[in-house]
Amino acid sequence: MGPKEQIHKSIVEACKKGKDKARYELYQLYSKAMFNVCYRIMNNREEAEDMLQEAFTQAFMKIESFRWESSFGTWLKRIVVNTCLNAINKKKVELTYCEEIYHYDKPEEEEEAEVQFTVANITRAMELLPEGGRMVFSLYLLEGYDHTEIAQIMRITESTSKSQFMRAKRRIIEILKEQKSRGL
Amino acid sequence: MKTDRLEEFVKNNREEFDQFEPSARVWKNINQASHQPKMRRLNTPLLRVAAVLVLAVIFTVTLYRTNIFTQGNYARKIKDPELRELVEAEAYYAHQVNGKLKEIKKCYYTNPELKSEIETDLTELEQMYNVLKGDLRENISNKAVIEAMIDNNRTRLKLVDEVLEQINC
Repeated sequence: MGPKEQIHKSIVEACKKGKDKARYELYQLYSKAMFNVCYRIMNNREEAEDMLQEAFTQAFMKIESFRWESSFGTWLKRIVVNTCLNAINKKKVELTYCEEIYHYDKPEEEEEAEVQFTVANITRAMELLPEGGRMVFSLYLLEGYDHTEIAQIMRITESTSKSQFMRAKRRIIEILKEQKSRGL
Repeated sequence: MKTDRLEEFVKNNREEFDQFEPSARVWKNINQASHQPKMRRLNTPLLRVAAVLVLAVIFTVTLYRTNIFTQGNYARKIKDPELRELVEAEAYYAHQVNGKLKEIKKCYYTNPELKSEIETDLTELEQMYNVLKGDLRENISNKAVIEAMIDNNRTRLKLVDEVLEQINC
């Protein structure tokens, strides 16, 4: 356990005892990261804020059951991700996934080299992905879950998770290329 | 892999991908919500005890109303032998009278005047019975009163017996 986690541990333990100040400190430490997790899944600021609120409220309610089997951040992130996915499932809308894109004729390696990556243009491209593909992409690459975990979280098969990740990556590059060619 | 450059870029710049800040209302709502369950947790056991008490009271009142306490098993628990006899007799006669009254009621259809006749008689007897009950309460285990009460019960049974014999429908 690193020194950062040690500090967090004392705050978490104080929070378990119901200290208001510790609760606020935990929120300040984790809210930004968790809000971005919510945003990447929900793709909507307002919904992301609702999810963040619900997840933190839940976490504070059951913080006594947190026994340091993982880091606090991992535990909290799982609550956040589950809260978002529950909300999406409640909407009862089928998730849309990335379609397969075929490129037989293009020498891709060269073209890809032209695309400049920035955090901003990748974020924007992610927002344009079909939601299922976006979720798999961010859960894998940004939130650090493996395909087994994603399969479990999203109730899809592992191979769907893998293929969606591949397609999402390709689609992002497509979008960036299109934007570049349009001079954006 | 051709898209590994993307993966690498994201991993190297991971921190910067957390670029949005939630608005202040989120903490306000969390803070409010986090204080409510605490109160509820304190109150829940008390509420449960209160709920159980309310149920117990309702149960007891219902038992009294349906006179279960004045019948059967409960009668055996009464210590005064005379009172116990009365309670048992009361239960016995009430059962008999009600059973026969049911038979008689079937004949109301053919003898409409029967209804008012028998019901007036029974009401009269019941009123007398209530007076006796009052007497008994004032001077508990008064032998004469108890005897009168049992007699009253007997009369009621006799009445329905007679009516039943007369009408035979």
